[in-house]
Amino acid sequence: MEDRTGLPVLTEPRDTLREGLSTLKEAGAVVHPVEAIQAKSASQEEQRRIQMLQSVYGTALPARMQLEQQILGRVQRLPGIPSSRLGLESLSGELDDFSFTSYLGHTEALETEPKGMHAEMEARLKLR
Amino acid sequence: MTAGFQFDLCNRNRLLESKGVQGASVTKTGTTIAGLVFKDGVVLGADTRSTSGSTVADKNCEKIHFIAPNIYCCGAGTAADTENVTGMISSSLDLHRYATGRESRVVTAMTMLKSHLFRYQGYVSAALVLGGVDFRGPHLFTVYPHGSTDALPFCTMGSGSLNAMAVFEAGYKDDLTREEAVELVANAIKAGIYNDLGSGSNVDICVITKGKVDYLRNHEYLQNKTYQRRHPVTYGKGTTKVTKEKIIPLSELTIQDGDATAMDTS
Repeated sequence: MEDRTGLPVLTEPRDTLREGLSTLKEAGAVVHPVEAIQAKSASQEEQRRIQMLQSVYGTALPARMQLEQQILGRVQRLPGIPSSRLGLESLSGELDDFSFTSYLGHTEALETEPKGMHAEMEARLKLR
Repeated sequence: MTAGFQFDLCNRNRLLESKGVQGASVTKTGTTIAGLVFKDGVVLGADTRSTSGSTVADKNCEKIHFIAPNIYCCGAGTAADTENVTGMISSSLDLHRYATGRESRVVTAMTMLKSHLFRYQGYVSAALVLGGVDFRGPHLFTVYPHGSTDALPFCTMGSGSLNAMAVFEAGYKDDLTREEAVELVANAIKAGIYNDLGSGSNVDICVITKGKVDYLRNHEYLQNKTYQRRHPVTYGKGTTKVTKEKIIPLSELTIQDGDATAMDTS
């Protein structure tokens, strides 16, 4: 679902009417080390978990788990509407986790407006 | 979206600082916290001052945070970081207890804390003293902001840690009784309060034993208050002059068992 080719600055959803055309200057360097950590740590830990499962249980189990993840991740609502990915969350263990995302960052509590479904769909279908 | 820390204002802050605007100072808990393992469990102690720069932000704050019914944690460092990290781990342990159906272990809380702090490479400035009693006995750990931990029979953290550690080193023995342990920890915290600028106000103590927790909030109240407000305020009879008096004895009243009509709520 999330395969976007090209620079994120040019392909991510953007409200051109409100924010203007996107420029490469905005991509720039990462402003804070913690931002880099937050962006990479989730995928890095997932990689580590899969490697651990491979070395302990063999390659078949993580391959089957990834297949199940793909199947469970396919059912989603359009962006902007919260979709309950119960199966996916219980498979990856997110259901039993409690972290920042569980009590911060809810769309109802944000001060800024969310990007909107149309901008997201345009980016996803590469219509920009 | 990435919840947690947001970075859209970092560029703005950098621009403001280059123009010479001073940022707001963070509320730290320049602190003395200490913990001790005694015969039946763990005693945790903390002072109650939280500072923002050179001003006291909170004269009586709570630095001993709840993690689980059998685990408590003292926090030093940035106040927001310690409160939020301990709150998050407490909720995480709650879910863990539902999943496993067992009492939480202190090492579980310690591992959750250290992996979270290590992931943020020391930017979450929380130095913690974690203590509790589980089925394997009493445990006491220190967790440093970068994610390293120590398992010790007695430990101190914060800006007043050296003052408190001196008292511990002089007075600690194995298998202290509960009274001796509470007195030693209170003395250690008081050494930090009297000799360190960042610590002050009162002493909080938390005694954790198997199946029981005694949270002695303000165990020693060192602030001298000149005026104690009583709430609610009671005025003695005769403060206001009585001009008229009518007494209706209750025995003269009759109670009617009529139809109770419902309130009009629409």
